[in-house]
Amino acid sequence: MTARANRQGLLLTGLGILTVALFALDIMLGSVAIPFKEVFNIVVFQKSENTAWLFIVEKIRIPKAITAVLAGCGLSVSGLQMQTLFRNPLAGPSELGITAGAGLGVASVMLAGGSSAGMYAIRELGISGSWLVILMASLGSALVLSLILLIAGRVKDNVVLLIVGVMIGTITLSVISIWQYISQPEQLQEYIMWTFGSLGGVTQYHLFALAAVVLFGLGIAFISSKSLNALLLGENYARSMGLSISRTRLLIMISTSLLTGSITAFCGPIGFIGIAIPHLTRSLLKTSNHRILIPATCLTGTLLMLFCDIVAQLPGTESVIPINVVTSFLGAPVVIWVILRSNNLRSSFS
Amino acid sequence: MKGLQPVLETTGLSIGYRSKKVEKVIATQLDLNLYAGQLVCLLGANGSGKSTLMRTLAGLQPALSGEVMLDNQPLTALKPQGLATKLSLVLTERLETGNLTAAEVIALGRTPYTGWLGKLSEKDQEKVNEAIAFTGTDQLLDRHMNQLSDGERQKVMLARALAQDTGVIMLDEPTAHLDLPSRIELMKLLHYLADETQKAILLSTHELDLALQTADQLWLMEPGKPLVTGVPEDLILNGSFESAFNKNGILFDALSGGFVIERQAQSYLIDLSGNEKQVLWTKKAFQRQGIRIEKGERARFKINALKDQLGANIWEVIFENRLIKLHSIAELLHFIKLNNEKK
Repeated sequence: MTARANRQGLLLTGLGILTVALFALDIMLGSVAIPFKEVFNIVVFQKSENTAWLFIVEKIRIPKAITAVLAGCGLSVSGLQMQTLFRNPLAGPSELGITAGAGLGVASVMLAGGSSAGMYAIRELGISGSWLVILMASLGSALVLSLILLIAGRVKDNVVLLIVGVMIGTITLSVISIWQYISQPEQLQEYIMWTFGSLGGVTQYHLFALAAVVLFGLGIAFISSKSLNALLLGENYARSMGLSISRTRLLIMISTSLLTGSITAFCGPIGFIGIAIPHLTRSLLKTSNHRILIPATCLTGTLLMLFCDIVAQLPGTESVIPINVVTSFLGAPVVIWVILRSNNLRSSFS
Repeated sequence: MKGLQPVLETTGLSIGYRSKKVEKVIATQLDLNLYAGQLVCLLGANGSGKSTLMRTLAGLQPALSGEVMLDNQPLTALKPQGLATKLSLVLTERLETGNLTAAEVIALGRTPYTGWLGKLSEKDQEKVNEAIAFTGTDQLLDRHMNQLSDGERQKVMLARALAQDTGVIMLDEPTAHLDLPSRIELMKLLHYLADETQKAILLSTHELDLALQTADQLWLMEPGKPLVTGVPEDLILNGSFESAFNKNGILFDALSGGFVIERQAQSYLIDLSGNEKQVLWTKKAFQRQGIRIEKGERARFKINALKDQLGANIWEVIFENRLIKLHSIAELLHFIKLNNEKK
């Protein structure tokens, strides 16, 4: 017992140190080369001789790194909750179409709002605009999630549920496509840029809104950790231990929708983090206990997101690739590994 | 049992399924009592409604009519949390929680009592330790659930139900996936627990022999017939047991308390005597081979089962005035068949 706890403690500490290091590295590296000493000065003393550097670090790099932390935590914890709720190792926000639902919410704001409702216009609206996007994206996520939950009650097969999720995602995306088809070219460009995913589009104002919603969602997830643990034994056992299934489902749904919705609204659809991180964390810590898993997935999620962001910067060059591309490159192999490792997905939930 | 208050009591209970229009009734007019300290086995063939009854009593499924009282409170009036402190379950479904350790699963039994984070208090830990001691699972605690054998896993699930500290424990076919030694061990443990902890334990099972040996009460379910309850021996003597389980080719033997497979038997004039144990198993072998012993004036085979000086089993057969020594039941069966056909 203690040997296990010690090992887990050691691992978590190591991950923590690594996260801090990557956070620092993420701020130091970028398409504009700024000496490390200067970056240190700007972060610690908030001053620099070069005002352009001061602006880049304070207004771009630090918010972007914080966004990476929020997205890493939020997406992976929402994936973890979905995997436990559906008792399905292949559940995740992008796999079951939840991200597509959030995309529908975003499209409804960007494309339907008329010519003045582009992302820049929304950004100019400041706080109220960001709340609107978050609200619509979360509602979109909740819509798809409740649909999937309804179907999951009838379908017991993991793979079938996954296919249904992919199909619902496809339907949602085609609704968006119709919308795109009848939209103005300027709006389209904005929307398409959004679909590539970017951690850099979040300004300080929006960061406040995003952080508030993500922390709220994580809070709900942490409060649900006891219920999530009981759900590991299946719904019948959970009920026999006094758990109200409908209330637990509602809480998990609210948390997942807020996390996925808000992050997708600002960073675009980021794939594979939600499904891959919980698996990596479980096999690293060898536990399914959510009281340990939720903080631990936050750490590993942050770690991988920061790493992806650093890779996306292509350090040493002046170009940047979309974050979505990087997460898919790293995440998809994990999903393949999960499928191969568990020969029979119907019975292996780990 | 008179004067004693049952922990669980049903009056005029009807169980079954109700969809929008159709009502499928499985059993009606059930007046059942479950007392503290009793081990009750619910027996019945597949499809007799055992699971439906268990699910209804556990509150997982609504009753069609009638009432279930748990600790003098109607089951329907209890909130999930309250119900969880009075009744715990061990289900047939296989768990797919490979990454939980046995200790973590047992600790989950304290869910109805712990705070919002599920952290165990000193009292919770005490109850968990008690459950571990009762079930002898202390060697398994650090292992993951997927590393345990079926029998070990079932013991861990039972420990979890014990940790839940309820007056009633219900187990749905707990012996289903187990090998014979594990089955016997589990039934022995349940019998001991009911006695020691004064809990009421209800389990559904197909293990008739084990149920007969361990249960304080039996509930016999037959499709389309009223549920019969009683002490096992009473049910055997009044014929309820036979009527519930006799099928084509299978007979309940009220003398031995076991089942026999009926065979087209041929009568042989055999006189069998000797060492009690050898005689018993020789008879069983005859029964299996369709050799019916018919005692007559002039037995063709006179068999005396005994042990020789070295303690080995031998069968002395007197056949047509000759004495033949045989050293196993196989030889004996062969000998009888061979010589009977000759004639």
